[in-house]
Amino acid sequence: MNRIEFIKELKRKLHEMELDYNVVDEIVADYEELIMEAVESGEMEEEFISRLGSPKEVARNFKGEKKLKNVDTILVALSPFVATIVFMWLGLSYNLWHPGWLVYLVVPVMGVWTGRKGMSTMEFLTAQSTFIATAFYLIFGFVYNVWHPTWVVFFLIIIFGLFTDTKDKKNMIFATLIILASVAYVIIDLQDITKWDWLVFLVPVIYGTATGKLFQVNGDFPDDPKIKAMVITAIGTPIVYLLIGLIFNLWHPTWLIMFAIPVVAIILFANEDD
Amino acid sequence: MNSQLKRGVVELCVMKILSNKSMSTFEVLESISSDLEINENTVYPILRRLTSDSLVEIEKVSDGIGAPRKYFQLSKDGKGKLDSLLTEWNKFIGNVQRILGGQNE
Repeated sequence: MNRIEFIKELKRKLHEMELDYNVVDEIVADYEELIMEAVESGEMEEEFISRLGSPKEVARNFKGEKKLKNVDTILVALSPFVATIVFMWLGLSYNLWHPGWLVYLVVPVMGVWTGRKGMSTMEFLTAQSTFIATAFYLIFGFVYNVWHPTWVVFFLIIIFGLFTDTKDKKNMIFATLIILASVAYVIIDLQDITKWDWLVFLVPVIYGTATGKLFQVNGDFPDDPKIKAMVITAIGTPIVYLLIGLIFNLWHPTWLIMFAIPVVAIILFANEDD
Repeated sequence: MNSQLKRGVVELCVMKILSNKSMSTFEVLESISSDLEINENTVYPILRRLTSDSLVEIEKVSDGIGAPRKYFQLSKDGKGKLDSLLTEWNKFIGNVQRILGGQNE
């Protein structure tokens, strides 16, 4: 096991013990420093790590450390009630039943929030990007009645996924190509230049396929089946939505399929502590 | 040796080492393991506990490259605690040697 693998696994084990986030960060940083100093002093990295013991054994030493406050669980439990109160208030006071129902998006957001343990910032944002994109799409769609080409915002999910590994140049190129293609598509579409505007997406598709990035968005994710399932759902759902929309011109009510993302997130992450 | 006893002994050694100069976790580990056979993972949890008990202080030193490195040193409270532990230890060892040497019969 090398340093990166050890640190990642140690972090995961410490989060599983529900330790305070600052405590976890501190312990992880100290072990990283210890390993690096050992290597600088001539120790073989993997040999030194094997002498430290498995991340599970190492983590066991910190059972008595400060625990995480149970705020997350309370927030998840309260979110449906808070959403209902706000929804009723908006409806009864301002007759905003629609789009007031969008407040229910807070429920899946809370589900993902509790599942952030062990995730890097970018992994967390990747999980949240589904809600950011969905919320933006719904709000923009209902307020301006512009559903097309607003759906392009769902590419954010893939872009965030790619940005979880900024050291990988291919990831960065792929993400840049998706952003450029999306911008080009929106401009061409709004100016109604050609109906073949969607062809611009062939550029990132070809690059992604050639480099293997299109079907392996993030090399870190497959370690955790829950994260893997979440990413597949987050990417797969908008694709299904787009296909049905483009082929059958059934954008409404097909958008309802997007709720599969928060539902899966709740099933996967909300009961993680049980 | 009983692991709890060994842990206590290592803790005493860590405190003694840090009473002379400030050291990083790895330096403490190297210093102790040159004389005692210990697991690489023994020292850091001890340092962490001593720090939370305010017996050890942390100083962050930057060498200009990368993140600042943590150096541990015995605090004033730690020095007082070490003195009392050493007195206890010497008395304990003296008594044990007396028993083992048959002088208490």
